[in-house]
Amino acid sequence: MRLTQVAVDRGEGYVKLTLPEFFALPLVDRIQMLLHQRMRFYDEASNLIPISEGLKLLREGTRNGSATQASTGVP
Amino acid sequence: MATVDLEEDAGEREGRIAARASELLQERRQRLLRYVDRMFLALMGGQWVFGILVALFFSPYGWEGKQRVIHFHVYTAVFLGGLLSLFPMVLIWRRPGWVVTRHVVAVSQMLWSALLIHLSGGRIETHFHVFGSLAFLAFYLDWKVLGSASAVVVADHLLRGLFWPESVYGIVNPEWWRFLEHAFWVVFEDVFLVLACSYGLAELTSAARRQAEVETLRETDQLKTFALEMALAEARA
Repeated sequence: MRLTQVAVDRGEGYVKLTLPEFFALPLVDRIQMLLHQRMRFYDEASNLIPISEGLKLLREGTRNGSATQASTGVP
Repeated sequence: MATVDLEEDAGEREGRIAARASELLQERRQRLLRYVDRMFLALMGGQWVFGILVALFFSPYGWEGKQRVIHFHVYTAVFLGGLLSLFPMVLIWRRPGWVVTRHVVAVSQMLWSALLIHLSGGRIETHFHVFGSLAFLAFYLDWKVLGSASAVVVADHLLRGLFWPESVYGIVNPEWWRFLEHAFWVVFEDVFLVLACSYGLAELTSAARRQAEVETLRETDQLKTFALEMALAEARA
């Protein structure tokens, strides 16, 4: 399973974003969405992934040097 | 400087916990229903064999004039017993956990009690099968199933008591109200079984709620950790 998309709710309903698009959002917005659990994770087949699994994949993805690493720097 | 609102909305959080708890309750309930269905699958098969043995033991042969023939009870046990067992067994196989399946199981189980009572010549000891069956049916944690089963028992005792009393009570002239006596003891057991069902369901609901709370707490913790990691990494960069 691979994490390819996230959906975020910035007050106007959920909008799907690619990972680079998500990491391009201002840090404050990202933190706000994470803390308020206004985030959903999707695999390559657009299936919803549980939050804990989504975060694990997100962390693994950034650790393995995916396209997102440059923008996030998350180790 | 931008500020971050760290407080999660309590209403939203409660809604999420409630939704997850309901999902977990459904999962657990389905698992339980399927387990009890499987238990009855085995019981239905076993009862069929047992019914045939009872018929063979109590009345293996009858007489047609001077000719000894297989008793009608043996055919009843094989064919009527087969029908009573196979219908719920097919439903359990095809639709486990379905509401109709467990009501069919309940009705069949009570008709099995009726058949066994008949095959044993209305022996009072065989009536215990009714009470054992009600207890097994309570494993479904669905009081309506007990309602269906009890209605069948009462109707069976009433009708057979009127039209074929020796088949149900082993005597030809029981008091007309005897079915009420049997019904009373069925209701007596039902009261406690319904309470047990209600308690069991409440426990299941409470366990699902606790698990949902733990999951939500863990998720919140993971999200906070990730948010912090992200903030620290970007501060370092």
